[in-house]
Amino acid sequence: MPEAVRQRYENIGRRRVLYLLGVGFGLLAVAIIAAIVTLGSISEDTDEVELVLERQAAIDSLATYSEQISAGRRGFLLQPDPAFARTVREASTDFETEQARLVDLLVTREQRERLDQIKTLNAQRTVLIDAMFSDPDEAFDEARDLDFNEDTGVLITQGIRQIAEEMSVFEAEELVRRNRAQLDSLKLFYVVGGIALLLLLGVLISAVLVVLRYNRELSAAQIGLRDANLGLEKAVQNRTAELMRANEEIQRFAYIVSHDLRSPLVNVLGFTAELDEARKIIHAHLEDLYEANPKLRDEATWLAVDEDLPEALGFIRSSTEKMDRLINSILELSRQGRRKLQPERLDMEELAQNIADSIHQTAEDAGATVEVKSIPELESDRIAVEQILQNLIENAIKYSSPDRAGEIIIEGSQAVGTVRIDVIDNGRGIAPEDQERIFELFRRAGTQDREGEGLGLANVRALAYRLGGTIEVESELDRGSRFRLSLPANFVAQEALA
Amino acid sequence: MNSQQTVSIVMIEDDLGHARLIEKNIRRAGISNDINHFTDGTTALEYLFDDPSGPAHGGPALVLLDLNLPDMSGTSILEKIKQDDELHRTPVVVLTTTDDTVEIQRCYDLGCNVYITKPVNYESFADAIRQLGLFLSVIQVPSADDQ
Repeated sequence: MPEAVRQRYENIGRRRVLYLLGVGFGLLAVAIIAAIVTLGSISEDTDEVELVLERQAAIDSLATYSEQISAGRRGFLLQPDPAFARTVREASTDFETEQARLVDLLVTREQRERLDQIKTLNAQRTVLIDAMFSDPDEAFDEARDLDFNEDTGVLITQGIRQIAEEMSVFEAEELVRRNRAQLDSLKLFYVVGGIALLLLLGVLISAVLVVLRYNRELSAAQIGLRDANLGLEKAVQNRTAELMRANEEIQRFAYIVSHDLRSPLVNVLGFTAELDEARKIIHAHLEDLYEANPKLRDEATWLAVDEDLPEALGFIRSSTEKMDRLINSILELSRQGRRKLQPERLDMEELAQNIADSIHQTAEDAGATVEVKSIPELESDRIAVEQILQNLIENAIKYSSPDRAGEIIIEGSQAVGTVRIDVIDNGRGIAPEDQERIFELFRRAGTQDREGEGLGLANVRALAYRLGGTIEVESELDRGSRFRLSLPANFVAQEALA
Repeated sequence: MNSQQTVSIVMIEDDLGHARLIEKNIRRAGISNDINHFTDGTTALEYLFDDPSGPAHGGPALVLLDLNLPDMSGTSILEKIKQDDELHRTPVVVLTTTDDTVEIQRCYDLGCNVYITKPVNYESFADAIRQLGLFLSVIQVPSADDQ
C-alpha cells in the first residue's frame, strides 16, 4: 500500500514535469523560429535598403555626369578648348557606365521606363555632341544665334535632370518604405521574442513549482511510510512480547500444576502402600487363623483379601505411577521450555555421530545401523539440537520393522538461511492419519508394543519451534519414515532480542 | 537420656496425608521422639520463637520443613530460623516435592542441613524417611552433649 502511494505520486510528478517540459520546448522552438523568421525579414529589408541607397547613388552620379556633359558642351561652344572636349568625352563614358549599372540595379518598371527615357534623351544629346565635335564651326554659328533657353542640348539636359530627380524621389520614397518595414520587422521580433520569453519563464516557474510540490508530497509520503513502518515494528514488538508473556504463563502454569499435582499423588501412593501393608497383616492373620481353624474359613473373605484387594491396589498403584510419569513429563517439558537457549556454532556431523555412537549398543541390540552423511554446519543451541536428534534416532531404532534390519540415515542439506536435517529409516512407518497426532503430547501411533509416554516427538516439536525451526514427517506404512528438521542456519534467541 | 535432652521434632507440613506418612515412617524407623506438627507457617514460627518449651528457649529440636505452605514460603521460614541467634544451629531438613535444582541450591544457601525430595514412589519415600531416622539418631548425641 505505501509502495503504491509512492508510485502514484511519482507518476503524477513525472507526468506533470514531462508535460511542462514539452510545453517549454514547444515555446522555445516557436521563439527560435519566430526569431529566425523576423531576423530573415530584417536582413532582407536591410539588403533592400542598401540596394535603394546604391540606386540613389547611381542616379545621383548619372545626374551629375549628365550636368558635366552639358557644362562641357556649353563650355566647348563658348571656347573650343580641347579640355572641354575631353571633359565631355570622359563624362559621357562615365554616364554610359553608370547607366549600364543602373539597368542591373533597377527593379521597378517605372524606374526602368524613366531610365529608358534618359537613355533616349542622352542618345539625342550624343548625336548633337558628335555633330558639334565633327563640325565645330557650324555648331558655333548655330549656338551664337540660338536662345540658350531653346537650345536642344540644354532642353535634353533639363529633361534628364527632371527624370533623374523623379527617380531620386521615387527611390527616396522606397527608402522610407523599406525603413518602415525594417522597423516593423524589428518590432515584431521584439514582440514575438518577448512573448515567447515570458511564456518560457512561466513554464519554468510552474515546472519548478511542480517539482517542489512533488518533492514535498514525496517527503510527506516518505514520512508517512516511516511512521507506518515504525508502527508496524512496534506492533510486532508488542505482539512478540505478548506471545512471550503468554508462553511464560503457560510454562509457569505447567510447572505449578505439575508440582501441585504431585503432592496428592504422594498421598495416594503412600496410603495405597499403607493399605497393602494392612492387607498383608490381615492376609497373614487369616492364613494363620484358617490353618488353625479350617472351619472358620470363609471363601469370600479369603478371596477379598487374597485376590480382590491386591488387584485393586495394583491398579491404583500402576495408574498413579503412570500419572506421576505423565506429570513428570510435563514438568520436564516446562523445565526445558524455561531453559535459556545459547546459540553456538555446531559441527552437525560430529554432533550426529556422537549421538549415533552413544546409542550404538541399543542399535546393535535392535540389529540396526546408523549412518551419518554430510550435514551443513549451523548456529543453534547445542543441547536442544542434541535432544531433538537423539529423540529422532532413538525412535527410528525403536520402531524398526520386524521384517528387516533397521537402516537409519542422517543427512543434511541447505536452503536459503535454513539447514535441513533428515533422519530416514526403513522402519514400520506411520499411517497418514497419525502423522500429525504423533507430535501431540501423550499421543502415540501404531501397535502399542513399545514403552513410552508419547513424549519424545512432542518434545522434539516444542524444541524445534523454540529454535525457530520446524519438524515434518513423510512416511509410508511398513516402508519407513523421514523426519525432516528444518532449522535456521543462524539462530538468534528471542529472549535476547526482547 | 532424659526427656529434657530428647530432641523434639517440629514438622511443618500443610498436607495431612504427607504428615501422617512421614510420622508413620519415622516411627517405623524406630524413632520415638516427640513430633510437633504444624500445618501453617505462622503458628510454626510462633512455636519456634515464642513457646516457653519451644526450641528458642532451650529445647533441642529438629525442623522438618515443607516448602509449599499456604500462608508463607518454606524458604522464608528457613531464612528466619537460620538468621536467628538462638535457632540457627537447629538442624533443618527440607522435605518437599520440588526437585528444581535452583530451589534446592537456594535452600542450601540459606543454611538447610538436608534436602529430601518426596518421591511419589512409596518405597523410595519410606527409604528417605528411614534415612532421616538415621540422621536423627546421629544428631541426637551431640545435641545432648551440648546441653
